[in-house]
Amino acid sequence: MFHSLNIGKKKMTNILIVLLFILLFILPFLTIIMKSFSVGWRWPDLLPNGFGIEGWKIIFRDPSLIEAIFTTIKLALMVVGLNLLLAIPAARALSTYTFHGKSIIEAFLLSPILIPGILIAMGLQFTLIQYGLADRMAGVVLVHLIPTLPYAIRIMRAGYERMGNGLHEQAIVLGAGPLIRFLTVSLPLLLPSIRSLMLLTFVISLGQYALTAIIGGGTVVTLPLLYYPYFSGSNEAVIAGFSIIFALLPLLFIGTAEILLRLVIRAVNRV
Amino acid sequence: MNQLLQCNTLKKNYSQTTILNDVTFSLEKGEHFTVVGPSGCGKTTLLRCLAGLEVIDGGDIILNGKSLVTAKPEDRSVVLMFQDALLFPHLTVIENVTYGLKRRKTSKKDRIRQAEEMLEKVKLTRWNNAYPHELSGGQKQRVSLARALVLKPDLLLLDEPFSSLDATLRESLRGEVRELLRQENISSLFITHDRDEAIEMADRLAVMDNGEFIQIGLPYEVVTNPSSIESAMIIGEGMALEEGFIPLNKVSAVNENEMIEPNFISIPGKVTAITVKNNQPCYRVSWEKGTVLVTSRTQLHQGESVYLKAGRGTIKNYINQEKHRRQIQ
Repeated sequence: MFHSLNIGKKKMTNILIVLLFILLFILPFLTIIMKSFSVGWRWPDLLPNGFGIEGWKIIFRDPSLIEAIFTTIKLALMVVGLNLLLAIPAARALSTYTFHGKSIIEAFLLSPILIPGILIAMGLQFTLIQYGLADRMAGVVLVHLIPTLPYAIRIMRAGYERMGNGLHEQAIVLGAGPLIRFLTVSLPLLLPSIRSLMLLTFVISLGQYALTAIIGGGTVVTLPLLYYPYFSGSNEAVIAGFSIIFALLPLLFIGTAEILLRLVIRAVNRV
Repeated sequence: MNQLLQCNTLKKNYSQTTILNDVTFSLEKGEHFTVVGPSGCGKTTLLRCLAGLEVIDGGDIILNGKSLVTAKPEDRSVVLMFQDALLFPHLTVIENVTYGLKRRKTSKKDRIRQAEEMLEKVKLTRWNNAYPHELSGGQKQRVSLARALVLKPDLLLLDEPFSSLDATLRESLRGEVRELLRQENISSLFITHDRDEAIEMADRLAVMDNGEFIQIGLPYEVVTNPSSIESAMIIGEGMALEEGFIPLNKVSAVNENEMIEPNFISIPGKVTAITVKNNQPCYRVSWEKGTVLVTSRTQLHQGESVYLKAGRGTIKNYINQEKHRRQIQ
């Protein structure tokens, strides 16, 4: 009797969790999809007045859309790559070694979180102009590190601290060199952290408007630069369409990255 | 036997603290050498220096006639087995065991064959495809041992590998490990703070204290004839007094009212536990510097105040510690 009551309670909890998930994540997304295909949808109507693909037509009629999508993906990939390259060794050093001035380096690496990125970007602009990096992709990539790198280091550091140094040392005494150690031990065990880092830095980079506009100077046109002017317009179907593209890009990226990472891990860890 | 390892005046400091202070010893091929000492005496640091996980601050490590000081840890024919099994959690048992072989470029066919043979030797044949989280503590240590032995290193370093296991398992596993090391003809350097484990695993035994080897010898010799009070307190089977060492078989407990002859010494103590050993009652008696397990002609009771009694002639004098250290070197 008590047993069946318990099962019923558990079932109810599961149903509630699923409903909550649908309400918080699926429903808003479905609404946006519906909105992108709507023709006029005003408060307090429960459904749009009509459906059509006008909004999507306007989006795809923009000649710079495809180029902007590719620029955005290229930029975000470079930002993610640089974050991985910088955050992994930095996080390993911070989590494993004790050295003089460690706390100063920690504070310095995390300082961009404390100072508004736009202030740093304004200051950096002069330097980047001096080095010929302003109005260029390289300059934008560098400036996108400001809002991403502190988070990337934090995430990787937590991963390294969870993993500890024991398995790393075990791999050393079994004859693994630094690269093999990383591929066979660190990479698979740090996968959750790497996944979070990639998704977070990709999404942050994707959403940068001000930094891209200041350093890119209108030459580097990313999706936000194309997307934000539509906010001043009244066509909500277009805004909804852009939002869907925005939401799909990170999902597509993380899916592809996950498959590639798993293939690498499987290849290096075969018997 | 040929010499395998020679450590000359090894030094290791952390900041201002000396961890290893002129540690000098040698190891023959096929020999099983044990280092026993209290926690924090530098045992683990010694193994980490030999494995190359720590850089030494002085001295030399010579393995098979070649200095290891500049050799990368991954290139040394030395494998260290840690206190924890440290199996790679994302790899199966067979993948864990073949890990080192793959790094040594052994062909796939050979590494699978060698790993399966080794798993059979450690009695884990049916667990090839299991993941570490599916194994018990003892099984994990067996896989860890198989992973180390399959590489056939010149020297296997064991850092208290049984310390996390329960007493029964620890006892059976150390017997198996010793047997396997002999079968595979692999030399070993075993460190422990457990006296019984040290004696059982050793061909030769070193007693370590404060970063120094204070005595090296055959287990029986060290246990029955400690060279100093420090050595006696760490490994000696008996009572370590300032003036010398009394082997345990010469000590008995007597009721505190019993007359003690003038040619005997008496040390006050208290019975803390009563047990049976070799089919006769034994009493654990605590005294000023520790506890001893002794017999008595009369029946004693828990909590009773007693005297530990031994003939004056049974006291063995310590060898002068400085002189003995010079002899070691």
